[in-house]
Parts: sequence; C-alpha cells; structure tokens
Amino acid sequence: MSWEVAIERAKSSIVPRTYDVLKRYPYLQEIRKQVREAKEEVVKNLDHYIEETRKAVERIGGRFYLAGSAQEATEIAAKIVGSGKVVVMSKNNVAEETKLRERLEAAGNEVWETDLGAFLVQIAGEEPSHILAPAVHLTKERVAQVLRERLGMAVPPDAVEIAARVREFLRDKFIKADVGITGANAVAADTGAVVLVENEGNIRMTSVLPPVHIVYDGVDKIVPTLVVAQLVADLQSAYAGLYPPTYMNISAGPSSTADIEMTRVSPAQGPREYHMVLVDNGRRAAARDPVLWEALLCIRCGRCHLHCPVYWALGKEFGKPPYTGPMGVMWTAVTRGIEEAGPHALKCVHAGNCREVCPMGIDIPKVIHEVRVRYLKITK
Amino acid sequence: MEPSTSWIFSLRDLVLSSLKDRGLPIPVDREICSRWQQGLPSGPKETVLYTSCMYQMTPMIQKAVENLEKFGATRGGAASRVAAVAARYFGGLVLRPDKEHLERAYSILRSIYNMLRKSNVEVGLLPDEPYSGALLYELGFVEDFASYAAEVYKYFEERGVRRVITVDPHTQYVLERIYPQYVPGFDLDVRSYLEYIDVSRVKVKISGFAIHDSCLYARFLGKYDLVRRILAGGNPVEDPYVTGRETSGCCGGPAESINPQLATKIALGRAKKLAGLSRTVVSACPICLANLSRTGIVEVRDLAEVVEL
Repeated sequence: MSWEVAIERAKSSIVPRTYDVLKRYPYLQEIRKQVREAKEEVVKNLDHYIEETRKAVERIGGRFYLAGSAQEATEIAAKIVGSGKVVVMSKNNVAEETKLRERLEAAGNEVWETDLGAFLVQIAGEEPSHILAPAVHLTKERVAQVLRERLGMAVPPDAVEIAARVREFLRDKFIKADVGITGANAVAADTGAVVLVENEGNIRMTSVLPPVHIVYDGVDKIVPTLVVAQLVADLQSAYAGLYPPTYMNISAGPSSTADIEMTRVSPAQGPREYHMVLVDNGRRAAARDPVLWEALLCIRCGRCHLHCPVYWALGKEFGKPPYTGPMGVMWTAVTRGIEEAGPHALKCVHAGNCREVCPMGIDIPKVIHEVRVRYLKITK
Repeated sequence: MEPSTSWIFSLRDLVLSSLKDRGLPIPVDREICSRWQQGLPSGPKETVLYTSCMYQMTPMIQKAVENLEKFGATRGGAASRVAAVAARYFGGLVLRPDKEHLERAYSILRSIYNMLRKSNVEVGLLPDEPYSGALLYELGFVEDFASYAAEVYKYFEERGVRRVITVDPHTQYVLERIYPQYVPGFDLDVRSYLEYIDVSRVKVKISGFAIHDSCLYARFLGKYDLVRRILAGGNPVEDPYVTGRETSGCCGGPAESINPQLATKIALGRAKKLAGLSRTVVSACPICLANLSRTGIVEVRDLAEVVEL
C-alpha cells in the first residue's frame, strides 16, 4: 500500500509543478527542438562523436576511456580508484546499471551516495524506483524508519528534518573523500566538458572537493557542443518540474589557474585529475537499430513515469531498475537486451501518455511494442 | 504480476484457430455480431459501417479470461502447464452470450447507425463482417496479424467497399494506422463515426458526468477535442489532472487478456480518480466500458447512449 501512497504524493506535487514551469517559460519548446535535432545527429554518427569527445577530453588535460561492457567500465573505474579510499558519488544511473558501487566496495573502498534519494536507497538496501527520484517509493514515514534502523538516526518523518540529518552525516564524507564520481546530464564533444544539473549541491561538492573527479556515464550523453549540453540540462530540470535548477555545473578538465603570468596551470583548488569513462553496454548497437535508436534521445527527466498507468500500478516492477517506467523498458532493452526487457514490454497498455509528455517526443509506445514483438519471436 | 509467455502463446493459438473457424478472435456464435442489423436495409456497398464485432464481443472476452483465471492460466509457473489444457477446453466451447450485454451492445450500435442516418450519411451493413485483427497486433504477433489483415482487406475489396466507418477506437486505430504498414496496397478510407456527427445538432441526454477518454482516440487519433465538442452540452466535469489529454489514464483493458490482475489494478485506480469527479462516466470505447464497469465504482455510459441528434 505504501507504493500507492508514495506515488500519489509525488504525482500531486510534481505534475502540476511541471505544467507551471512549461507555461511560465515558453522558450523551452524551442529548446526541445534544438536538443532533439542535436541528439539525433549524434546518434546517427555516434562513433564519430565518441572520437571527438576523446580528443577534446585529452586536449583539456583529462583522460578518456571507452568501456564496451558494464564489466569493462567498472574495471576501468576500479583501477583509477584503487583501494582503501573514500569515494563519494552523485546520483548516477549508469553506475547503478553497471553495479559500480558494489565493485568499488568489493575492492575495499568506502563508497557513499550523496544524492539524498540515492543515499536513502543505499541505506535501505533497495533498488531505485525512478530515474530521477530513486527513493520515490519510500514515504517519509518509511525513510524515518530506515534511518533509525540502519544508522541509529532519530529523525521525525519530515522532509526538512531528514534532509538536515543526512546533510550532517554526509558532510564528513565529502571532506574525507579521495575520489568523486559523477554522471553527466550531457557531455560536450567539442570541449570535453560535462554539464551537470542539480538542486542539492552534492554534485558540486562531489566534483570539486576530492582530488580526483571521475565522470562515469553512457555514450548516449554526448551532444555536439557545450552550448547544446547546457540546453539539455535546462530541459532536463524543466521537464522534471524543477526549473530553474538550483545549480548547474560545468566541469572541463582538472582544476586550473592562470593567475601567474596568465599561464594556465593545474591543479588549483579543485581536482588534480579528470577522468571520463563513457560506457557503451549496448548503446552503440542500439544507435544502429531501426527502432531502438530513438531511446538514445532520452534526457532522463523521468516525466514519462509520472504519466504512465502501468508505472502507477507497478512502480519498479515495470522495467528493471534503474531503468523503470516507460523509458525504463526501452533502456532495459538497450542495456540488458530483449530477453530481459520483453516481460516488461508485455505489461505496457499502450496508453500513449509517455509519448505525449516526453520532451524529446520519443515514440515510446512504438519502441516498447517492438520490444514485445521481438521478445515473442525469440521466446517462441 | 508477471505475464506468462506460455499463456500468451496459448492465447495466440486460440485466437488464430477461432479467426480461421469464425472470423472472430474468440469462439462465439457469429450470429451475435450481426443480429443488431435485423430490419435495417443492407444499404450501399461503397461506404460501410464496420463494427468488427467489438461491442458485441468484448464482455465475452472478459468473461472467458475470468474463467481461464480459475485454471491459473495467466499466472505462469506451474499453472502455465494448465494453460494449454485450459485453452483447448476454452476453444472447444462456444461461449454463450450474455443477453443483457448483447442487448446493450445492439442498442449502442443502433444509436450510432441512427446518428449517421440523421447526419445524412448512408451506410451499408455487412452481415458477415470479419474481426479486424487488432488483438493480434496488440498482443505483439505482427506476422500473424499481417496475414490475417490481408484477408480482411481482401474481404472489403471483393465487396467493392471504399470507405469504412468504424464504431470503436481499436478498430479505427488498427485500420487507419497499422493496416497501411502491413497490408500492401491498402487504400480504404477509414473514418470514425464520431467524425460524422453534426455537433451543432447534438443533444446530450445527461449532465454532470466525467469523460473517460479512450487512450487511442485521445492520444493516437487526435479525437480528444472532438469528443468534448460532442459532449459539451452535458457540461462534463473536467479536471486537468484527471481528464486532461496527457494526464488521464488507461482503463486497463489492453492488459486484460494477458495480465488480468494488472488490468484490474489499473481499472480500479482509474475508476477511483473518475469517481472523484462524478459517479457517472461517459466513454466511447467498448473495452473501457466493460473494464471500468466491472470495478463497480462508477456507472459507465457509452457516448452513443447519451447523445442523440
């Protein structure tokens, strides 16, 4: 029953907020078109843009890695991190997809999620239920219970109190952290920069306080330019109903200063190392697929979940965490294959709300129907 | 609520064999599809009113699935072994129509027919019309659908039909949007009866109801506003987060045949939301009508039951 309560509370809060944002800032409609066009261009020429990104990251003093599989990705990150380190992570669906936290913990590191929702899911030992709000399935009453049981925190079931206590707990981890791992809302192929949008301030600290910053995300996040990357972040926060975002971060290489004789040197106050690990794990094959390619346009705003009758009914049982809901069925197909996505595609009722509210105009019902068709063919 | 693939394949076999035997996806007496036409002229051949037997059959599909649930057919696992046996049992019977449901379906179809006549649209009637095949497509068996759809197109062609007027969103969608993708040379003009209603002459017999939109009409076929123009005289109760084009929900019906538990859960959630606006709900889809009615939370009326010209 708590799922029904949690999703109703979330819907009644964020759905009207999102409509308010879209009405107040009509220029977002123009941005949608620009971003879709730019992302289509990248999907059609993905290998070219991966190579452009590699060159740009190296140009700004970073190191670039392309990981073919989930295992390859976690091995690369584990090698950079080493062992016995304190690692702070901002919310990262690709880390969840590839089980990065578990791999780093197995290597003897202390790893902390710093996004409040992701932290709560980590502490609860559960799976994320929504691409953007991973703890949406937890009511505030359940959160208070989890914090009391797992961390001995006596906190009332109140969002402000919960946020304050977790902030206190994590502050110490940020200070001690050796490595910060972030995702990317968008990766700019022209500059090697990443754009990250947030409200909590945890990404800013994750990407600046530790001496090593690892950007860990999918190749689908690449867009042609830094200008477009910022537009992606605008759109993502707007369609999540959280516009303007409290913070927008750009990271482009290790920290640097040009204050001495105007010569740029590195590091300065922020990280001394900047690594970018981009993960394929089915994305490049999907880019060549006549139907699945459209999934790669998704900007992870999570709006489709909140308009989907099957997600309302099933929560994270619709799709495979972290990829739940309508976009999640597509992304389960991209990253885990038709066999794992198929049973979820069979749950789709073709209501079409997801397509209507998608900022990228992805024909999600069509992609899911195709997953269903292919699944039935291989299951025959 | 994981759907059982063994059940889905059993269902496919059942649907295919029934289509082959009767031109209908479930084993019902063909006569139930055309009885509503009694006493009506057969009309012109070029433009036909095509029911696809949807209003007549839908309550029986649900009843059949309910019966199969007793065998655990849709649950998978150990119960899935029973599915094939259950399907054979099911297929071996001719389902008995529920008289009350049938009479209601006939009344809806007669109302649609009369509205077309009063809007000066002359339509022909087909006493042996086949089912559209929508269920095969929706289930995901596109190859089976494609070969069946070719036969349906041939049926229309052989009778000189050029325009098909549909009565429900599933048939409209599959003929308008899907047939052209799978049937070479498909060139029929496919229209919904809603398009022919003279909105200026519509009288709405009830008021203060909530509209439950068919997903296909509202979000795939662009008929959200048309439905509202037709029903405007009844002052429907609207809520942007319950009856909005992007925010309204499904009745659960499309999951009924393969995942009845999920279908019920979705239907209950939808009915509760609608009941918050009005206990009387108007829909224009036989599947929505049946699925929401079963919840017992709202009284569902078909659009054709509440409007007249």
